[in-house]
Amino acid sequence: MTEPQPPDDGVMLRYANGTLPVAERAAVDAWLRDHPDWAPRVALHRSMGAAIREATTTSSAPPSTSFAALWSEVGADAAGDVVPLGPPTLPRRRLPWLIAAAGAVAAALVAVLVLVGPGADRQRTADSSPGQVATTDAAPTSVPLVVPTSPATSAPASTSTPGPNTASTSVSNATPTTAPGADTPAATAGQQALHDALAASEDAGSATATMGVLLNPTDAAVISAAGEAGEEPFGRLWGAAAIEFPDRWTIEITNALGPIDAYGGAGETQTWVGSAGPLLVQCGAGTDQLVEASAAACTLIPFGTSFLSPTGLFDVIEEATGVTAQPIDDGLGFERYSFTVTLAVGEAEPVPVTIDVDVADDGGVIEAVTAHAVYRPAPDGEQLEFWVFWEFDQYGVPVTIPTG
Amino acid sequence: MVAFVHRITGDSGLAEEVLQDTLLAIWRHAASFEPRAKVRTWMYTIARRNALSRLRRRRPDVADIGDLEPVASGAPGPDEAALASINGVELWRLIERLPDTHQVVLLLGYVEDLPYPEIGEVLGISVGTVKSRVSRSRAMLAEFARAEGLMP
Repeated sequence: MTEPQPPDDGVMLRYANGTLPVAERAAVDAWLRDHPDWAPRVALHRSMGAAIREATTTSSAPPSTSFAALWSEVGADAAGDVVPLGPPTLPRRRLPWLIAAAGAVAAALVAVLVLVGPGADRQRTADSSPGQVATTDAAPTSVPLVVPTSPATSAPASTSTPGPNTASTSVSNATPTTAPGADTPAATAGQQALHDALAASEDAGSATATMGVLLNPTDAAVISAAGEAGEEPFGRLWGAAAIEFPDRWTIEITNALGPIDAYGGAGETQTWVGSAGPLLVQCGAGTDQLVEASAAACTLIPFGTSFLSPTGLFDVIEEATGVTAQPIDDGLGFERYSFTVTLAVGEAEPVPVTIDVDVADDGGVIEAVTAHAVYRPAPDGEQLEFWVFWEFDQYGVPVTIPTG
Repeated sequence: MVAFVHRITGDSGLAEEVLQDTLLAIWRHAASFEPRAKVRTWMYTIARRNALSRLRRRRPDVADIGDLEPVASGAPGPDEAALASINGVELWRLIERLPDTHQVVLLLGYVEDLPYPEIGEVLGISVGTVKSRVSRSRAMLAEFARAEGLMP
């Protein structure tokens, strides 16, 4: 017969606190009866608990946060979703429910790029047929931001639409820079022009961070983005995107997070491999979905979604399949969602494009991540533009991640 | 929670900012919450992450050598009885000398009454580390008390 084990120290502590459930308490009582030499442990727990409680409840100043102000700040937009709680007298019965509503965080990446139709089969022509994009000689700086004409109706419930409370800022006119260690050229004038145009056309109410580059077919480019989310306490983001396109595109996202950040290790490179084609993908990945690693959490914008190009509408998505989710064994709690979409623009050969979205499962903190990319012919008809937009939704508030 | 965050940040102003961030999030997002995790644990987890994130902007993480030490799980020795007899004010003064990492554990255990596994969740450490920190805290308190002549 084995010797009975002493109660766990955590159990003992709660016993001393007087908060141990009755059933467990009886076991500790019995143990102490049989082992009086353990009484000092309980006594010390009680002494330490009393000392700490006394000190922290008398010396910790109450938060200066004005609950009234807090309520006035959030009350307007939350009224539709949240039962208003009178700030000075928070109903105690609602506290658990209230507390439970805490949501979370994210990290994020921004990247963009462009491409060119490397072959004749992808060249855009001025006499576009339906579904094809007419070209124009308009300079990039006059190009309005491409916007979907039909919203992502299949977006998951956890994906919030930017509202009046959106933590948004306009995208800065940051100059694309070469990512550390990347042996690729800096942003060209064309890239900068496109980026400037994109920034200038950014909707002030939008919560997306965008960058765009315009490349020649033989170019490779790296753009980088870094910033901190406006209202998000820990939504820091460092990223770099690269694209090369001899035959197929290679898009690399370099996670330049420092080693102390929870969202990734310094210098890690995640490679996205795709091929020419326009695409629009939206993935909503909430905390719960991430926990369950449910691929179904991610949805795609319906096929046939139209975009407004400088010269008219065109449809881009022909097919979208294969949403999968799998954990990444990097010790950082990332989950990788993969999407394969088949894209077609005009007469170009439909091409499957796979995009991996790495999402940090932040221990129940991330709420939603959305990402979509937009591809379109450039105004000069010789190039294609490919923009990727990322939105990270924490606490139900999409966050702008400034580029820079 | 203020005390908890303050213990992590060591800065009352920062603690209040973190608290406000957390409360704001709760208010804004209450309607869509699906309670799967324990509410309190979740809340503290968020607060901790907020706090640590803020801190990361200020200072690098440092390894806590105390975490590397084995958990002492034996019966209490005479030191514990002596420590228990020290008055609360003195005891608190000694506790304040403990590393922040240890103080936070004690705070969550004694004030917030979180079980060790939940403390581990909140702080992102193993239960073993929680136990180690509590045990190590007792040992350090005894050292402090002895050095100050508060116990033989």
